[in-house]
Amino acid sequence: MLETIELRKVYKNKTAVDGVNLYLDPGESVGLLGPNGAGKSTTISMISTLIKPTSGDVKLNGQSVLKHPRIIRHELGVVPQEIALYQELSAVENLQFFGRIYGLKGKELELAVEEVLELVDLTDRKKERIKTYSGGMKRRINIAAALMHQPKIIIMDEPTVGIDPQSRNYILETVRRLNIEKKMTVLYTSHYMEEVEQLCDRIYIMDHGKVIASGRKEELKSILSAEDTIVLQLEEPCKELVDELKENNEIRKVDVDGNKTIKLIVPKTVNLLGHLFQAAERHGARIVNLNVQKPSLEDVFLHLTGRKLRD
Amino acid sequence: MGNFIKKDILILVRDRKELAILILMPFILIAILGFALGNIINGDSVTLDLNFALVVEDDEASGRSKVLEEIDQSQLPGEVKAQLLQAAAEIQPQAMLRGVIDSEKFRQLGSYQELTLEEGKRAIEQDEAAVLLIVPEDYTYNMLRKMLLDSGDGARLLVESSSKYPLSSGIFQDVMESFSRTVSYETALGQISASKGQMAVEWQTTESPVHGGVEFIPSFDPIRSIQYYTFGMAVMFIMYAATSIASRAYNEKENVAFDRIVIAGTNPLAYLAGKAISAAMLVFLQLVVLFGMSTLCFGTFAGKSLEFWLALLLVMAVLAICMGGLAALLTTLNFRAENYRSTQIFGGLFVTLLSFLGGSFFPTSAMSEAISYLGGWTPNGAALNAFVQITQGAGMERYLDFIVRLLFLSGSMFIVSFWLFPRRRMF
Repeated sequence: MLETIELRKVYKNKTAVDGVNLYLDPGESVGLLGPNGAGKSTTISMISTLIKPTSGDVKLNGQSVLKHPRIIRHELGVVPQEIALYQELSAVENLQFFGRIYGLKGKELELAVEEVLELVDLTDRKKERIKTYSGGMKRRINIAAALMHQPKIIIMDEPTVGIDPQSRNYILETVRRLNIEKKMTVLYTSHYMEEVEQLCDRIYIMDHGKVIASGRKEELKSILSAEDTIVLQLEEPCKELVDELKENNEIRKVDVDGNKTIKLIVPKTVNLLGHLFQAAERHGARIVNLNVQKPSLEDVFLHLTGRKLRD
Repeated sequence: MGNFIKKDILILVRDRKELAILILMPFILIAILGFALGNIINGDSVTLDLNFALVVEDDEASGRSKVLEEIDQSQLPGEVKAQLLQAAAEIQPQAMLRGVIDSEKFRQLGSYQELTLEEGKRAIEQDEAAVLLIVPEDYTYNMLRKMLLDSGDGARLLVESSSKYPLSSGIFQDVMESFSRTVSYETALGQISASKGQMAVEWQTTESPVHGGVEFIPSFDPIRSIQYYTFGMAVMFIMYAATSIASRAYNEKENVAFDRIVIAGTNPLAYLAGKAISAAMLVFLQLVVLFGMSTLCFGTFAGKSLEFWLALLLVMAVLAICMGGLAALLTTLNFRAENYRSTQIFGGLFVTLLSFLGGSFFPTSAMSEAISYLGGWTPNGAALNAFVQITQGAGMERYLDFIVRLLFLSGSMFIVSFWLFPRRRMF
């Protein structure tokens, strides 16, 4: 349905996006993961015709969007990371405005407004000005505005940034309904690994402008199938122990989370437990908990990029 | 397009702070400047450099002897007749007038030159003098006759003003009217009562003024300070309306609502045109409200003819279009620079500078020829000049030039803004 071919964007001396190839099949929910500056937003801007690529192409049903930008504009809904709404206008007035720019009017416009308000569950507060809404409610109207013209594809750029867990769950549920009930194709970018794991069938991982891994969740996790994740919890932080573990060549990654928790990625073939207890004793560190886990997508990301998603 | 305009105007109208800046602040300034100026003139603190010409056609000696003869031939009792003859010999109407225009207070307002009628007319035609004050033939005769015999309509002064100095002629009118009242009720009374107390009592009760007043030759009506400052503040604050629309446009770019609009397939130039039309409509509305409020509260344009209002509407419409061009230009500059600096600099510095040059604070005729000329080429200055001419009752030929200037400025701003508006990012 939608694909990018060797998409590239260069700003002066900086390559923001470097030969990105990705595709979305109809009705699919695809995640785009990557830390800040990975090139996700630039890729989305090129797909949605806001930025002209330096090279490469975006194709919708085989037709070049670069040559015919209009073909994608009515098929596509974009939910930006920012609250792209007018704070002085009510929810209804905002939705009417964005509906009209897509050519909706009269009864058709009225119905579309009612439908999207119902979808985001804000019908009872539709006449209130956006500036009086909570962060979560604003995000919901931000999504609703992108749905006014009933697009076939929806691109969501971190739609849950800075909101409370309840609103976040509501938004995730809305995205799932759009994908499953309305058969909408979704391209979802996020910092939150668990959101992508929960919502998406396939995932692209981007870093430094490139796609460094892609596939179904299980496929990505299998990158680390030959490895275990060991999580150590200490009574007190111990820098000497961490330093010693980092110097151990048998350990692939050492990640310290909150001083007292150490996450290690080690090959299954290595028996590290005895060594771990000895090292802890040597440095006077007391291990209060130890877990051997299956790798998560977060671990995969850490393995591939050497940093955490929110770094 | 209507969708964009409706949205822009709704947003602006709902912002109370913005409304206060666009409507309330100019209204307060109109009141302060319009009324405070009169107080300053009555005080001792300002020099307006009012240059006027004095033409004396009156023959005081001949007028006095005619009145003496009439008193002598009257049927009045001998004692009264003697008192009146003495008064007629003592009162000097021309000296009373000169007492005003030669006074220290009046000299702070400006200076005058005594000319022949022909020279005076030429000075007015060539805008060398702001006002021509004519003391007509029989001024002394008419004044003394009215004062002493209560006969005739009294003496009148003639004042002709130059269209170039509307405010100065307005001030002059105020001073002369004040003189006229003083002569009627105080000076004459004081002079006579000093020697003839009984007659003073009789005159005190008369309702007919001794002095016949000041007659303004109706080539151009003088403009009142409240009228001047209604225009001056309006043309200043409409520039803030254009700035506000441009700032809000950049808000749309920052919160990516503009991206949403472009993704929907809207041509960026149609978006820019929407901004220009919104600004033009808003400015027109702002002018209507300011002129309306000023008239309702201060009677600024009360009783003006239909012709006046139609001419005013024409200039308002052209000025609104020009402000649409300004909003488009500022929007373009903000979008190109990707910051608010253009509107910040324009709102913070250029509005004040243009207002000064355009004459919003005081008439540019008081400044150098170069500044006055430059001011006439600013959108606010051109509009202010046109508004003043209309208020003075001038025909269209007198203000057409300013309308053409406004159209030229509008066209230039539209061309530059549409040409430079960034489109390169989009496909």
